[in-house]
Amino acid sequence: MINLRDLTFTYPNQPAPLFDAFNWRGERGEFWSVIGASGCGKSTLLHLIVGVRAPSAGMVTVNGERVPRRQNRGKTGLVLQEYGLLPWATVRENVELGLRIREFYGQDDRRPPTADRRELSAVGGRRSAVDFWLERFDLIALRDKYPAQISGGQRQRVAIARTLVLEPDVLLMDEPFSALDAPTREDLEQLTLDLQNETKTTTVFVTHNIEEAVFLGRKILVLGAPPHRSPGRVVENSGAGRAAYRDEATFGEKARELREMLKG
Amino acid sequence: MRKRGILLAALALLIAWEIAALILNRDILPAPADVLIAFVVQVPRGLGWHFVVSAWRVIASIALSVVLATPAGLVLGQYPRVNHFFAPLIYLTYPIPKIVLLPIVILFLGIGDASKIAIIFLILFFQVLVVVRDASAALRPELLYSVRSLGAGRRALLRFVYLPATLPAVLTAVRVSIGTAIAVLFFTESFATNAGLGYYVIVDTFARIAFPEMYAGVVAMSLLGLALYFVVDFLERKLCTYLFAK
Repeated sequence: MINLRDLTFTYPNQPAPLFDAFNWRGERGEFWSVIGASGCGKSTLLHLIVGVRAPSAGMVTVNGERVPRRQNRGKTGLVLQEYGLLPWATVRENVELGLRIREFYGQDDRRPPTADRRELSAVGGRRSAVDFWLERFDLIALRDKYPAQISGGQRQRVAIARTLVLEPDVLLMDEPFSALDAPTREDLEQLTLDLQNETKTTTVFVTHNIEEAVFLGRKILVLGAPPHRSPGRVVENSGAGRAAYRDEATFGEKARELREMLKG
Repeated sequence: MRKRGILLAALALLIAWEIAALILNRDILPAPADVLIAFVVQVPRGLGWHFVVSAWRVIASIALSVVLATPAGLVLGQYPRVNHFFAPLIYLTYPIPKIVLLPIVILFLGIGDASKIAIIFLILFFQVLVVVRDASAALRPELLYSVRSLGAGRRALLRFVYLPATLPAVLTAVRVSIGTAIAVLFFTESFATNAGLGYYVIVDTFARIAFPEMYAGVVAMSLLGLALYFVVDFLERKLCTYLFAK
């Protein structure tokens, strides 16, 4: 599904590469956590998968297709810590944004095929998709509010709804909950798990929080200090994906294991 | 509350004027009631027409400067290299009091509407240009990045991000420039023309020592500024509702 082959990436004006012939593969429907210290290249990894940055060597493929250089493939959803909501648009308008962009300009300004456009322009179709996610995320009552009027947790729900309404086949989440308080954070972690169980969307969740990584990812990619070379360090964490996991003994063991790996 | 406050302020100004007129008791300061009568009588006899001419000149200048300065500001804000190239030029020309260019503008464009519109345009253009440039350069990269991840290309970004993001700045720039624009308009209309409120006040009534009529012209000019101010306020409330939420 997501395949990094001999990926090499160096930031301009940096002597050493961040990724040096790095290989990694995530299968369809998997939930991956990616953990590492700040500045280790976690976010850059997502940027490379989404296509905002291009590798200096090697290749990134998603679903068998090569990720176009500096272009969005349109089926990769991205959720950021900063929410990225439009402050001048209501909750509903923010959730609709991706659909409207496609309707008016097509993916990356290229007009969508007519059939596609008719389907999207069927206001009923758009409405029902948007309403579905607004309802699923308990946002119906807030639909006419502006981002500044709602809480951080609610904003992040809007950002996730906005991404899911486009029915992505890959969902990339870049420390989406690190700015939230603990109860809200656990609430949204559970929501993320539920959604993944429902939709089976291939998910890559980047975090610097060990407990979060263990609770969510059935597989965990551990990034130490760069440069990252193959083979990447992967921790199998098959217990993840259930609400009760947090209270089990294996949860603590996995967290300890990760802590040791990150130290060493 | 807001409307009541404005009405009360207007009333207070009128009362102060009335008292001042009573105390001074000279024809160079007619009472508000006399000016009001002159105003009503003069509107169909030319004052109304002069008002329309002035309003057209100032509105055309505002529209022209917004239409030209907004895209230019967006380009400067989005392309640091272009901005780098033009920044010294803007830095040099921005503080020049554009009104001193009036004789030159008249030499090139004549004494008609074109030169008046052009000189006000020059003043407003730089105001709008600079705020649009700064507002679009200040957009958080995360916002652009995440909207791009939803599939937005350049045109979609322009429509859904850059234009709405810079709109409040444009309206603020226009609002703070209205006073200057009308002052400059007044000056340009006070010579070599036969239409506009500046002409009416300075050439027509002042020269004839028709004081109530002259005051009516001053009131008309003030009303023009006030009306434009209200229009900008109205547009801001209509187009930038999020700024007023809660």
